[in-house]
Amino acid sequence: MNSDLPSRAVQASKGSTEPPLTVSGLTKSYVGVKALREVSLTFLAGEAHAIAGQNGAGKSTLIRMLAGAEQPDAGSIKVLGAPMTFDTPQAAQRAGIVTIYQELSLVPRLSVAENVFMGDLPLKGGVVDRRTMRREAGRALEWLGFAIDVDAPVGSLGVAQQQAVELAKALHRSAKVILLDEPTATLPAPDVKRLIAVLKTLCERGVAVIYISHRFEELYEFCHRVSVLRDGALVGTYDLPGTEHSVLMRAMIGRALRTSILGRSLEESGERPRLGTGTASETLLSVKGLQDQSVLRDITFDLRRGEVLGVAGLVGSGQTELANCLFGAQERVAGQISLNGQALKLDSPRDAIRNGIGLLPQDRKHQGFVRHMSITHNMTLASLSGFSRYTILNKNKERDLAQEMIKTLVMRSVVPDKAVGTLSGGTQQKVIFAKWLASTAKILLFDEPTRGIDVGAKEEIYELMAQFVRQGGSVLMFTSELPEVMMSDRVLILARGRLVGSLKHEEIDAHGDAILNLFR
Amino acid sequence: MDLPLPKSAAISSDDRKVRDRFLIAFSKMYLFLVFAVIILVGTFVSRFFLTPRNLVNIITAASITSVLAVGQFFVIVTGGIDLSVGSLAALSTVVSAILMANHQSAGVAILLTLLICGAVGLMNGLLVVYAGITPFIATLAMLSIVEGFSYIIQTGELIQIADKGFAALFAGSLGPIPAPVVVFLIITAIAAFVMNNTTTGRELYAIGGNREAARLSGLPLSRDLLLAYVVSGFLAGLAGLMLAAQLLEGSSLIGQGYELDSIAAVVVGGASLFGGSGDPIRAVIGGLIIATILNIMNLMGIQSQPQLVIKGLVILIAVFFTSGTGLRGLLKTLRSRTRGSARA
Repeated sequence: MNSDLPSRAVQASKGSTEPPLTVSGLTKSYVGVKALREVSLTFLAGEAHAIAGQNGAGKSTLIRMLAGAEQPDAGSIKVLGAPMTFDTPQAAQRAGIVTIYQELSLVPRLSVAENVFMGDLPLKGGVVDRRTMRREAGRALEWLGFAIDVDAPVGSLGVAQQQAVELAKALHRSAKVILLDEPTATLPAPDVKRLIAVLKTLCERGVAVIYISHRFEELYEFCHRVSVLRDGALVGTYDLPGTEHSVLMRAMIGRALRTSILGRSLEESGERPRLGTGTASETLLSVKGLQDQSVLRDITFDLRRGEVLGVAGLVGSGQTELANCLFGAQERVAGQISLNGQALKLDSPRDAIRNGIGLLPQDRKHQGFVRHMSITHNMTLASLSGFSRYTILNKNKERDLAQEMIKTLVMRSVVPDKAVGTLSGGTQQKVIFAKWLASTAKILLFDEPTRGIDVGAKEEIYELMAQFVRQGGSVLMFTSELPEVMMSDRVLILARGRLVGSLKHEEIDAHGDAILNLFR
Repeated sequence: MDLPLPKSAAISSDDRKVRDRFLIAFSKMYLFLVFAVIILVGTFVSRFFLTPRNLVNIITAASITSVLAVGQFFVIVTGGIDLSVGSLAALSTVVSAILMANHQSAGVAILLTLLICGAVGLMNGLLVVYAGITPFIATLAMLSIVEGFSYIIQTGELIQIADKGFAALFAGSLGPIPAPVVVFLIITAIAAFVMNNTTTGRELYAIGGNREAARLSGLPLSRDLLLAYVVSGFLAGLAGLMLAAQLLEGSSLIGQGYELDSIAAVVVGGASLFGGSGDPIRAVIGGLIIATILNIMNLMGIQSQPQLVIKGLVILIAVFFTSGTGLRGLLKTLRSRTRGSARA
């Protein structure tokens, strides 16, 4: 057990000329729906290969086949040229294909070393050989460029460090192929950089990395090739960074991007378009000296009628807390909030809703909607009194509203009775948006408005936001995504719970670099 | 509202829509199908089964459990559970019997008893909402407290009920229909209306389905939760009155096991113990299914101990189909297993 542990993993694949993983003609149907059609791909040793596609394009189905979570109906999987059948996730792991999901599979209470060796503890005379375990775990992490205390419980680590532990665990299992499913979705920007650096190292040492992410910047930064899936079929495999962004977008969506707000901003045209009109002047909501028990300190700002005010900051700098405070969902210890110049009592979400404020939370599944309830019932949930008389519900009125919303918000192929849990992320966000329109909200707080929503639907959410402010509403957009910062009419910069700066409409483009720096 | 928006590639699948509709319709119908099958089995097993007298017996036997199940449903739909309903029903028999034994009129006795039981339900709710005690523990403790309390005020002996009007109201009959059946039908109808057609009902489903989303939609959580426990307590009291009228006595011991029967009825009726699903009518049908199976076993002359075993099995099977893996999930697991071993 004294050998250089990580290289053991790599040598196996370097010794062979066969690619570490090949799939051909992979097909999978779920009761009548073809989720994957004859997908053939080759993953090379030392290559970072991205898989892109909208939600429902077949990415997750492909991952499930490769991870051994499900079996294909037809087609073959070859590892180093040898045909394989992955009946179970364990079989895939034994073959050297390790999948790392967004939800990490670590045990928070066990130590780093124990997690790395999970299911494969080194024994010495029938008892766990802790010394070997600690040494090897430490070495694997060091190799990845992390100095982590191997005795610390995993639960005490940050997300980036936990990912490193997960990677060390994969290496310990002699992974030839490491598959990462949206590893950066919940990661703050500096940690993303670190993860990418680690993945680059892995590639250099001959591991094949399969990378799935909605964020194009990341793909361009380190992936060698990207394969685009659409409606379950492979559209093509493109070299990176040689392929233009718009080409990939078209491959994913199956049409050219409209000259839309997002499209233009992504094409990096000189003038960055804004969601709002930029002419708003009348103060609507005014916040003075707001403070909460944990992060927020002395927050003071005004929100004007008809504007999109961006609140930019890294993950964890207090955006969610501020959004919750303004919605009455979190306790404040100091500060005044006034609406139209009148002091506002804001002790509960109920107070906020009564005053025309709505929150579109970041964690939609747990906070935004009731999964088992229908689209209709979710849409009317915040304004039931408006759909009832003497507490008896007027179901026709509810249904009319749902149908109107489905039409105006362009929610395709949905029926009002459908449970919200079965919808795509973008459609779910539209249901929540409709809920606040139904409650006649005038101020919407968007916390990471497009998290987990795919490109085509993102665009539509921005369009809805733009429409909302054009019709006299106001939006506070809490975001850690740079394109969204650049779309705002004005920007407040939040760092460690304090407002450290603000940019006016005309300053955003000029001082874009300053914002950029914030995200580095 | 006018929001001209972009149209992107429509991904519609008519097949999927049809299948979804079928599944939804089937999951709603399945309980009735099961009930029909059981009735069919009963008809073959005994020629007495389909006689009017026997059917009336079944419904009468199920009526008390049904009233309890409706109350239990209000709590379970919020994701809670009320273990105190059996002992509350017992308390209700004792209190009403004592009041009538002390020359109070039936009306006063009924009113006071229901008030007390509702108040105990309110206590449950306060413990859950404001003291932050999980429903299981709060109502388990209340079960013990109420049972002990009933025993103390009963002072050891059964209290006879002599009031004819009281007996007629809850155990008599309205034409050919027994009074308990009338009571439970009215209660079920009201509960179904409340859950289906009022804001409170909708709020209870939302609270059980996702409490945080309900809170962030501005729903009055505390008020609704308190109400659910009050309804459960109140209906437990009503069930107790029906029991007292049937047995013509008050006793602290007669409610035992009713809490589990009521939970079983709700669960067999397809509600998830995590909350947010089911409805009062299906809870009552769940109770009827259990009562019918017990009746068939009685007609077959099966002893009461095997009956308990079968009752337990019925609950497990029903839950397996409603909130467990279900047949589809099981088949899937089995299929992948056998395929795996065939290739290995």
